[in-house]
Amino acid sequence: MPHLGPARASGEGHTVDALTYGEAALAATSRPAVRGARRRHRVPCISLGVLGAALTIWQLGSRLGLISALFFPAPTDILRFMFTGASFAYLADGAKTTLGRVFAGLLIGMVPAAVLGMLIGWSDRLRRAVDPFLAALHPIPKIALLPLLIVLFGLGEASKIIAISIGAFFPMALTAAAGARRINPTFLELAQNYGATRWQTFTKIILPATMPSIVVGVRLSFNVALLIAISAEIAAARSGLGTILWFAWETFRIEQLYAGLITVSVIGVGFNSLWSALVARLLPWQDEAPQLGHDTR
Amino acid sequence: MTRLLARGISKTYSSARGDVEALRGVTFEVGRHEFVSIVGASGCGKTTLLKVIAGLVEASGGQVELLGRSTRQPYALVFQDHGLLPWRSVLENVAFGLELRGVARDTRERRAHEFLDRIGLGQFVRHFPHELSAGMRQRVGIARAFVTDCDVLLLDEPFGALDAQTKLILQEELLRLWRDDRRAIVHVTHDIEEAILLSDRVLVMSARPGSIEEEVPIRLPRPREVASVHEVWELRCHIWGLLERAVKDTLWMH
Repeated sequence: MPHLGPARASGEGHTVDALTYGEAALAATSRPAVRGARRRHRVPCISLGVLGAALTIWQLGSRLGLISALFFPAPTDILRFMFTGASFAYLADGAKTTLGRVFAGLLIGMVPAAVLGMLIGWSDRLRRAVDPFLAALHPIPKIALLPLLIVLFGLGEASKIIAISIGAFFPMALTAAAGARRINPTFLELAQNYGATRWQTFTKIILPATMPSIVVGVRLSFNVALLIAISAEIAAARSGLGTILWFAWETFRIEQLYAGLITVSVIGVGFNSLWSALVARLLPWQDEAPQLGHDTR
Repeated sequence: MTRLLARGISKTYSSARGDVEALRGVTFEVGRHEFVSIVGASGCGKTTLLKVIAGLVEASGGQVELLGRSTRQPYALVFQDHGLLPWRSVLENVAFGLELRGVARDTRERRAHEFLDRIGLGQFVRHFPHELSAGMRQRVGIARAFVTDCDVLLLDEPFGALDAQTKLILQEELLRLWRDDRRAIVHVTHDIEEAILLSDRVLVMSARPGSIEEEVPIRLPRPREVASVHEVWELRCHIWGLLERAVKDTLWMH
C-alpha cells in the first residue's frame, strides 16, 4: 500500500539505506539549478578563460622545452594529429562503437531502473523489500563484474553491454527513488481526493513529479555508463575508444592517447550540453518549481 | 436540509511513543447550501477532521454520511499550499479532477476555461503555476475544486499563507462563487474574523483531542461589511473566550 500523508515526510527514521546515495546525488545536482540565470552564463566564460590559459601555458612549456614534449606534446600537435584524415576516422569509428555500447546499455539499464526507483520511492513496503539488495550491490564497482559476465555471456558485445546496463541501473534507480520519496504529499492526497486509481496516481503524479530526478539520473547514468564502457574496452575489446587508448599506451603513441582522452571528454561534455538543452525544452517548469518538496511560496 | 452528517468521529494515531488521540467524538452537520467554518488552536485536529471527511484518513470511530442522492463527486479539497501540479498548466490543473473522473478532454477543458474566465484568469490558461502570484495560485486551487461540481467543498486554511489584502480579495471571491453555486462548504481556519465574515455557523474545537466545544451561529446579514463591525467584534470576543484556554493549553502556558 503506498504510504501517503505527512508521515511520508516525517516518519523516516530508517533512512540509513542505499537511497541516501540518491538523495545526496539529487541534492548535489539540483541545487545549482535554482541559481540565477545570469550566474549560469558567467560560468562558461570563466571556464573557457581558465581552459585557454592552461592550454597556452602547456603550449609554451612544451615548445620552449620547459616540460617534456615526449609526455606532454603541444596541444597544437595533438589537435593536428586528431584532425588528420586517418586519425579522425579512427577516433570517430572508436567513438561510434563506444557510444553504441553506451546507449544500448543505458536503454537496458535505465528504463527498468527508473520504473523500479519510482515504485520503491512510492511504496514503503517495496522499498523495505528491495533496499537491502540495492545497499549490498550498489557499492560493488560494476567493472569488477566484467570477468563474471564474460564467463556467463562470452567475449562478445553482450557481456560489455550488460556490464554497462548494470552500471547505469543504480544511479537511475536511486535518484528516481529519492525523487519519488520527496514528492509533495499534497499531490498524492489530491489524487486520492479525486478518486485516482493506482495507475492514474502513478502516471499523473508519480511519473511527472519524479521527472526532474530522472533527468538527473540520466546524466549520472550516462557518466557511469561511459566510464564502464571505456574500462570494459580497455579490458576486453577490439574496438572502441577504450581499445584506442590501450593501443596508444602499448605502442607509446602519446598524441593518440591524448586524442582519445579528448574525444571521451568531448562526448561527455557534448552529451551533458545536449541533455540540458533537451530538458529545458521538455520540462520548462522544472528549474522554477519546487515540486519535489513543499511549495512555501 | 442536512447534506453532511459527521457522527462521533474519533481518530487515534499510533506511534512508537504511544497512541495520540487527535479527535474524540466529533459530531456536527452541514446543510445543503451552508457555509460552516471550524476554528481551533493549532494541533487540535482540524485538518485531521477534514481529511477524515474527505476519506484521506481513516477514522478510528464514528462515521461520515453524505445525505441525499448524488452522482457528483462527494468532496473536493482546497489545500493551504494550493497543491497545484507544477508540470501542468493552469487549465490542466483546473481540469485535473474532471480528467481523473474520465470526462472527455473537450468537455473538461471547456468547463475549466469557462470557470477560469469567470474568476478573471482566462488569459492565464497556458501559464504554469510558478508563473503566477501566490494569490493567483490559490484562486486556481479553488477553481479546481469548484469545477469538479462536487457536493461538499472542504477548505483547509486556504488563505493561511496569503497577505492581508490578497486574503480579503480571495474571501470575497470565494463568497461570490459560493453564492452562485450554493453548495455546502466546510472551511477550516485559525482566523476567527475570517470564520465570522464567511460562515453561516462557526464550530469551535477544543484542544487535542479535538471535539466540538460550541456551535456559534452567525446571523449577521450578508454582505458583512464595515457596518457590522461591532457585531463581528462581539462574536470574535465570544469565540476567543471559548478558544483562549485551548490555545494556552497548546502553548503550555497555563
